[in-house]
Amino acid sequence: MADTALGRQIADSVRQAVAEAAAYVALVTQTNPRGSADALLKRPDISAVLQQALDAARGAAEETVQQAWQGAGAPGEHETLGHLLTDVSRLFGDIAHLRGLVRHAHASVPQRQFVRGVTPPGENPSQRAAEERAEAVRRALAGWARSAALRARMAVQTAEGAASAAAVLADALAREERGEKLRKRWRAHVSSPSCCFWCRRLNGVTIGLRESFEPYLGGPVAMLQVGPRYVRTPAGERRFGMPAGTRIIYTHPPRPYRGKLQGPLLHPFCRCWLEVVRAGGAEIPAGDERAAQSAGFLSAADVRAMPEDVYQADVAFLNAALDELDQVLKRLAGGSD
Amino acid sequence: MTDKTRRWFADSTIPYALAALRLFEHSRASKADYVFGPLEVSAMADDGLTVSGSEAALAQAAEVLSAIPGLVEYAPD
Repeated sequence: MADTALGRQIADSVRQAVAEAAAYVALVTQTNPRGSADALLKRPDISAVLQQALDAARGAAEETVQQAWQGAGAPGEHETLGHLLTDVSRLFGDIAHLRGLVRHAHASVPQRQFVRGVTPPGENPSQRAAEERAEAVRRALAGWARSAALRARMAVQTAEGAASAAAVLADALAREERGEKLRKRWRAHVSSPSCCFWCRRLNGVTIGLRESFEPYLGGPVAMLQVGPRYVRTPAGERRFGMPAGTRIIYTHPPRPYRGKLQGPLLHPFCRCWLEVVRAGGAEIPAGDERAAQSAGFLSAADVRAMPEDVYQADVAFLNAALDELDQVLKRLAGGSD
Repeated sequence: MTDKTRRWFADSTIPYALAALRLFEHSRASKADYVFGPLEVSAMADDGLTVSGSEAALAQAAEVLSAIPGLVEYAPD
C-alpha cells in the first residue's frame, strides 16, 4: 500500500488544480510589470482563481478519502475518517497561506528600470523583471501544490489502511458479541527491506480487541543501522535538552495518528495489516522470523489459557534454562564446576 | 484506561530468566492481566523484561519482580 492508484489520482488532481491557478496568477503578474503584490492580490479575479483551486483540490481530496475508506468496507461513521476529512479540509482551507506565498515570491524580484547609458539599447528591464517575477510566483504555487499533493496522498493512503484495519476490527467485535473469544494481532511485511524498525517490533504482538498497541512500541531505542545524528541547532538543543554537538542516541517511536493505535497504520505509507486470531491460540505463522521474536511477548491471559501439560512443559524448560545458565556463569567465574 | 509499560533491567542473565519464570507462574496462579516480554531497549535486548498493562496489573508484576535480587527497575520513558 506504499502508493496506490487512488493516492496517485489525488496527487494529480491537486497538482493540476493548483497549476491552472498558478498559470493564471503568473500571467497577470507578467502583464503588469509595474504592479505591486498588493495590487495583484486585491484583484477579485486573482482571489477567485486561488479560492477555486483550493475548493477543487479540497473537493477531490475529500471525495477520494471517502472513496478509499468505503473501498475497504469499513463502517461509514468512524472517528478516524472524521479526523482525516478534517485534516484534508484544513489543508485546503487556508487561502491566506497561498496569498502569503504569492506576496513573498512577487517581492523576491524587484522592479527594474531602463537606465539611459547603462541598459543596452533594445532591452526592456521592467518587462524582463516581470517575467522573472511571474516565474517566481508560478514556482511558489507549484511548490505548495507538490507538498499539498503529498499530504493529500498520505491522507488517502492512511484512509485505505486504517479502513482495512477498522473493517477487520468491526467484524471481530461483532463476532465477539456472538460469544467468540478473539484477539487481534499486528502483522508487518518483515521480509520487505522497507519495513521500518517500529513495525518490525509490533509484528506478531497479539492483544485484546479493545486494547491499544501503543504500549508495545516500547521506549526510545538506539537505531544502530542509521548514521550518527548530532544536535546542531538551537531548536535541536531545546528539543533534546542537550548542547549542540551532542550525539543523539535515542530515537522515539512514531506518534500514532491522533494518539490512538487500535491497529495499523503506524505511520504514513505503512503497509502493516491487522489479523484476528482466536484467544488462546498463540501460534505465529511459520517462516516469519520476526514474528517468532515478537511472540516473545506473552500475556497473562494466554498463560492461563494454556493446557496444563503445555504449561508444565514450559515451566520445566524455564527451570532447565535457569539451571544451565547458572552452570555457565559458575564456569565463567572461574569455578571448575 | 490506557495501558502503561514498566521495564526491569537484569544485571546478569539469571535474574532475567528467573523473572520470566516467576511472571509465568504468577500469570497462571493469579488473575493478573499484563503482557510481558524481553526488554528491547538499545543494546540491552533480552537483559530484562518489559511488562505492559493497567496500573493495577503492573503493581502485581512489580511485587513479583521486587523479590528477585539483581533485577532493578529501568528508568521510565
